[in-house]
Amino acid sequence: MIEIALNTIGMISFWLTVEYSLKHQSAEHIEEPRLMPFADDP
Amino acid sequence: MNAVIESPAYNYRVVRQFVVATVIWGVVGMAIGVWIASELVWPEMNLDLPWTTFGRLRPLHTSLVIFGFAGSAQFAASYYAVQRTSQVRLYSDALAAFTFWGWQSVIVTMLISLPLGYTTTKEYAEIEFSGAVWMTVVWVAYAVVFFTTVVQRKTQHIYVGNWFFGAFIVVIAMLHVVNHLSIPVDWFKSYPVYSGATDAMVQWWYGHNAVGFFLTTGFLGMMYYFVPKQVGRPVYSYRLSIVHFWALITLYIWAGPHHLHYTALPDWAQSLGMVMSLILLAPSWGGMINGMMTLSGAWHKLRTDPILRFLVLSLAFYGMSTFEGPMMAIKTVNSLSHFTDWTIGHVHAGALGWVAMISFGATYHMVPKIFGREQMHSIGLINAHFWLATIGTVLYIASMWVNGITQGLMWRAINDDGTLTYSFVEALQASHPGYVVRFAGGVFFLSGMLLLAYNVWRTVRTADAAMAEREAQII
Repeated sequence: MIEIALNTIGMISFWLTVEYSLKHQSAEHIEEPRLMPFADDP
Repeated sequence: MNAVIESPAYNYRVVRQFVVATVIWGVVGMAIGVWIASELVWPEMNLDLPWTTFGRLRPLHTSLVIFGFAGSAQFAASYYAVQRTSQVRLYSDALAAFTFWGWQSVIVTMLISLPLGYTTTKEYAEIEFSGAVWMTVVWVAYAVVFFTTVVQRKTQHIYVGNWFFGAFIVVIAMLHVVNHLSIPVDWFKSYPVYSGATDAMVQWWYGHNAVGFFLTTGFLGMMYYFVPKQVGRPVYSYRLSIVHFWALITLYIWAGPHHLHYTALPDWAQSLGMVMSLILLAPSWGGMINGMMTLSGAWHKLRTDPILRFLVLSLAFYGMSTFEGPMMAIKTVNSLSHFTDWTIGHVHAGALGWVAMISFGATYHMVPKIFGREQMHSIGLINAHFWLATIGTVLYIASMWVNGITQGLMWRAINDDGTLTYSFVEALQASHPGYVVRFAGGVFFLSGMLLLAYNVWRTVRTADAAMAEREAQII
């Protein structure tokens, strides 16, 4: 039982961490680095 | 020296060196592969010498193509891509040069010691203790060069391709050191610190992740740079690339026990390995789909660009072999496939179809740029190489499927009284036609590799140093 509780807490913490980290990120911002391989094109 | 450091140019010298090494080890490693394939067709091809028996040349073949060919290709691609996506020169010319000469000395050590019979007997980790320690030193230098370059980048983000290269470097270091922990009795003989089922588990934790990180993660880094560049379009979804990166590296490390189904390994560990292997299909296909979808609206380029054909077909084979792998990890399927040629076919679907083909595409993309040419010497030869490689791969894997299923069914067939229906030799005789077809497939693939070597040589022979210098300028 304790394992299930710990796993659930772990998953919720992980989810909240990811959500918090991405709180200020817009969809456009996340996709921005797509253009990096072309930044040094002449 | 100062002039070199202050020069606002990429370090293409080490990239050129690794590209040439990729071609040389590709030719040598694949030629030895064809040789040992011929030994299974005509046993007298072992020349009746201990150094040229299948048991000694097979680990030499795998070591040369994995560490020599695929390793050099990843060094070249990672050094090229990390500079261009970080817009900074590679950290330390001297240390970068050390990684080149150090890595080549590791491969030469394998080339000499394995035919002489010096081996740990651990698959893909056959190099003995002293060579393994030297390999670690070179790898640490590689990590220092790569990660310091990333730290010194002029860009805000770390491009996702570099995340994959970084994971490849870190995890391979961990796997190599842990699996090689052993007690040396002399320079070329050691005994592992593990024993029994634990030793087997550590070995296949290493072995499967050698596939997962040395032959997948680094090449996904390669894919994330060279596919968008060759297509001329940004990667389909950056978000997907991040999600499948974390999923891939989280899951791969658990899949090793599927190599030890129905052994002394605890049953729960076998089942865990099976389940993790099945889940692994999702992130594997995430990368494949992301690469394929990058061609959205640009599929017509495949008609005229054989380099792009190599890159796209490599993704198709990646998708195919990462579907086949989880299926083979299911215990009931594995009871048929284990120890048969199906496994060899599966490995080569990945090795020829994915690893080699994406390396060919990346090599053809890089060579004109780093040697100062508009394009490769002959586009026609690239096209011929593409078809030779494709036909060779299909012949190889199809023959091994047929052989594998034949062997599995013949080995498990029993009569009413419980005795075996077929002897081992009968299964071997039934496999002989498949060995002939596999040999032919290998000859096709090697012929294509020789075309690449000729094409690279002709391109390099007329290299324009001034143009190469212009190409290397950091904008």
